[in-house]
Amino acid sequence: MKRVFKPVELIVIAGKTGRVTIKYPFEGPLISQEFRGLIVISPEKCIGCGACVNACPPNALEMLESPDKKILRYYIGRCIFCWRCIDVCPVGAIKGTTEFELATNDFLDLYTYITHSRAHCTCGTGGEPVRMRRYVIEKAPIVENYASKCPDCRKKSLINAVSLRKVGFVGEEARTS
Amino acid sequence: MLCTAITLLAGTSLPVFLDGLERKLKAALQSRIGPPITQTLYDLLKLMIKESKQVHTVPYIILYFTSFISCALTSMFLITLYTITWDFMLFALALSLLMVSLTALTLIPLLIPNPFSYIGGMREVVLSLVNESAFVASVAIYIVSLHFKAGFSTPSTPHLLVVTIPALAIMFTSGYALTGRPPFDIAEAEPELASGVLVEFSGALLALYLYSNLLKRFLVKLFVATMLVTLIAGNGVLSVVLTCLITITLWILFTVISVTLGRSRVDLAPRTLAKYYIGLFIIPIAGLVVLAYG
Amino acid sequence: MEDNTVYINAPREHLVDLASKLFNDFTCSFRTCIGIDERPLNGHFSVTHVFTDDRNSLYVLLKTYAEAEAPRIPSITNVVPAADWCEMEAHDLLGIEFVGRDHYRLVLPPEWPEGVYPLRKDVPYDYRPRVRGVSERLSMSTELGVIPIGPYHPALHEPEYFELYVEGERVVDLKYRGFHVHRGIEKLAESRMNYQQINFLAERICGICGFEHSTCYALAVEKAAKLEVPERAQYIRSIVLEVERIHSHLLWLGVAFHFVGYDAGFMHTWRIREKIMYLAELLTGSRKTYGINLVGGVRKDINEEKKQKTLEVLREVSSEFKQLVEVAINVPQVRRRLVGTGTLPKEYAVKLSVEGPVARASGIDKDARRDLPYAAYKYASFKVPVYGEGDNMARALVRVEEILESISIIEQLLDKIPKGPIMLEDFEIPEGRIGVQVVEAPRGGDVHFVMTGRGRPYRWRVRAPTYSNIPALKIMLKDQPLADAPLTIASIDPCFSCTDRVIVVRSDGRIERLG
Repeated sequence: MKRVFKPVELIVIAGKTGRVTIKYPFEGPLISQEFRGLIVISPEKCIGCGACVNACPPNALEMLESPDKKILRYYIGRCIFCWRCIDVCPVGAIKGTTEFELATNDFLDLYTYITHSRAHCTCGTGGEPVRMRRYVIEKAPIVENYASKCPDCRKKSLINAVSLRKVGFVGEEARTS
Repeated sequence: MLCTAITLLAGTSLPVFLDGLERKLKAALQSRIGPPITQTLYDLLKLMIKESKQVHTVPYIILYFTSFISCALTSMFLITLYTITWDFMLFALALSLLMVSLTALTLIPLLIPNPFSYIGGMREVVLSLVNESAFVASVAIYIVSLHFKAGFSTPSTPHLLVVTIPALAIMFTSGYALTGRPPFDIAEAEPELASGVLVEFSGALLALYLYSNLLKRFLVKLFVATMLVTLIAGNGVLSVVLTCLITITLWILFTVISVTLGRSRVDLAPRTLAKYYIGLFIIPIAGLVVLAYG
Repeated sequence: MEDNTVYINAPREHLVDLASKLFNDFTCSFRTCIGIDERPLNGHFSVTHVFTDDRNSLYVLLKTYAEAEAPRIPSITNVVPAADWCEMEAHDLLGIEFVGRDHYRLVLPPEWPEGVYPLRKDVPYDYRPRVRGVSERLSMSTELGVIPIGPYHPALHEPEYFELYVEGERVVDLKYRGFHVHRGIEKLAESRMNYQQINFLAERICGICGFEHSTCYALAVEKAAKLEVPERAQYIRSIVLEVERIHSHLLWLGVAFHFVGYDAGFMHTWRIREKIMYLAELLTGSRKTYGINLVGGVRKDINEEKKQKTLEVLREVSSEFKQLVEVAINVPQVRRRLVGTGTLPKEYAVKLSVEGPVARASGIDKDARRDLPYAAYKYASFKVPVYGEGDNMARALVRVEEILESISIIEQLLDKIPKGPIMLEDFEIPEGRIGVQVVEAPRGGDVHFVMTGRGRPYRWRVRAPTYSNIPALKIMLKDQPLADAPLTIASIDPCFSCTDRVIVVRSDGRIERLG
């Protein structure tokens, strides 16, 4: 007989739990502090190395190259909010937030651009971002003179330096560099 | 005059708000907030302004709907009058109008020219056949038995045991089944397989259909409430108010029952119900025969 | 023979006999077969059949080669009926012909051009054939009524297409056409992503059981490269796997109640599930698609505070769930509709190698967590529920018990979790190795096969559990009343996204949708 009235116990269960739904846009969303939401890239800290671009699974972060600029583009539409970019960034320029209400009327809002100007070698070639050069100089014990040249010029100046010390003079062809 | 106005007003507007109350109560039992009580009103109003896709049988369908609504409202009015005057003719008229209106509403699915709606409609027709007949028969037996002696009288104890209780049992069950709540909401039950009427109606026609269903629920409960009021046989305004209150209580009770149960299977439901009714009917019929000749 | 994997290279003549011996005499479960285009490596196509010997915890890989021009391999479908679908998939995607059976198009859409085999190495991953869509007609039969379910229907959760042939209210036959959500994941992984990125792709194969796909992939690669993953990472993986299992079973239970009409049960089950979702977010950072798996370990740790919160949540869930199940199973309509419907007898279940709760409800004692232990399961003791009736109620009860067992497993593992690092630093993945791993997903055993290449897998094959369970539907739905059909289809817990997962993606403009 008791089993027949078991279904009515539902009322007891409902009474104990009360109402669990919330009136969402009018009350805050139910997320915890651990929630992975939007990322924010700080333009001051970013050195334009491209580690995040390599790590991003859906290619939301892309590097656009042009002769005088290198632009990091973040497209929210593709982002899966995995925060791998935050893991691999060497300078900690990317911060994660708990924001997820990202809908917008204008799709251009979904793109964020960080522009880096290129630092060229004296011969005119090459071009890593200025900040990346400064970062490398800061982190590694390299003389500025060496770091601001492109690999070809570096090779030539190394040959010049060795030649100067070994032979006492620099050869004709090498002098032009 | 005043009575007519009040009855009509209550009869047309009360079902809508009671349905809103039902949804709120259902939500509370399911641990959620649920829609506001006026939600059903908003739904009906919104449906009226939407475009509707018509089928060629629409004039007949509208005819059936209007006949249902008019018969239902008149029946409501008459049964309310009955609780004031206890005149058997009023009851007889009200009951016949109830039969006409229920039949009209049940036949509507058969007018839709869509083979899948037909499957759902047939399920509903089969279920209604069983339930409607049981409901009408039980109400008839009950009231007729009260009017056996000249005029109306409250039932005596042996009468109570033999006729009232089984008749009320049948009335409750068939009344509940007629309102189309789980476990008997079979027609529209599994829309991925075969749907009933709701698949073809849209716009104002759908609003009309939903409203008719609400009226049907209210009408059925009103009848059951009247039967309960006969047990006290008050007079005048007291009876009307009591009937109204009991109707509302019944609505709430049915809601709670419907939340705690699941949906029965298409072929199981009519068979189980039929067996149950036939079993129960034998008691009052036998009892009446004995009482009449004893 | 290596670790727990046995490699057998079989010449074509002996393939069927060997397969038959493995399947019938040694009662191995057949898991899947994988077609590989090895023409850049050794100029041949190959087909590998994967069996697992559950009682001895062994994987058995049976490999045959076929020549590059018109590859033909004998079909083992006559002795192993479970191999039907995967052979057809190899045929559709690689063009390998199987001798001894008739072929039909399974995975690719009907208008796909003949002769273009997407998984061959010479077809680029963003190849888009110029085709016109063909609309199909519903096969109208004169004696039997035909009821189509899907592919798009507001009441269904995922696209699938069933054609039920009915006589009155009884189903007499069933035709299934799936693979509507076939997305080209395997081709994408082989062409464009590196090892670590594929974890995230694998997670999105399915919305409900994503984490076990990414774990299975990571474990397969680690097996192939013989990496020593830190113990703490394995524990965390097992804990999150069990959290996923609880959430998936609760989801299914709610949906089953909804199908029976008992909406109050649905709401309350999902209310309990909400606590688990919050727990998952606390532990991993996201309610679903957890994104913490990497080859070599995990990305997020469990500290003391999270551990206490987990135990608290699990205690609440356990008591509320037990009370709810008691109430819900006693609702007369739920009982009457679940008991005795959709029966799958044991012989068919064995022949079709069904997986997961479907198998355990038909009397087959099969569970990859116990038979082929992986991650940290060897440190936890748990019971595997097996019922004999094989009807819908048995499948429901198996899942209910599994939830309670999962809660117990998580508590045991949290108790014993060792300290240490959670990620392997500095490792290399050599080329040309093979790793196969079976992980017990909520729906059954999920198989990932990885053949390593340079920087990315050379071949990655996923066989989701629902893949094996759908052919069993034909038997379950025969002679059943029509009203039980949706419930029976739902009772195998179909996850069509898992099943389909491979068709070349039609990208819209520059965006390539992944997975």
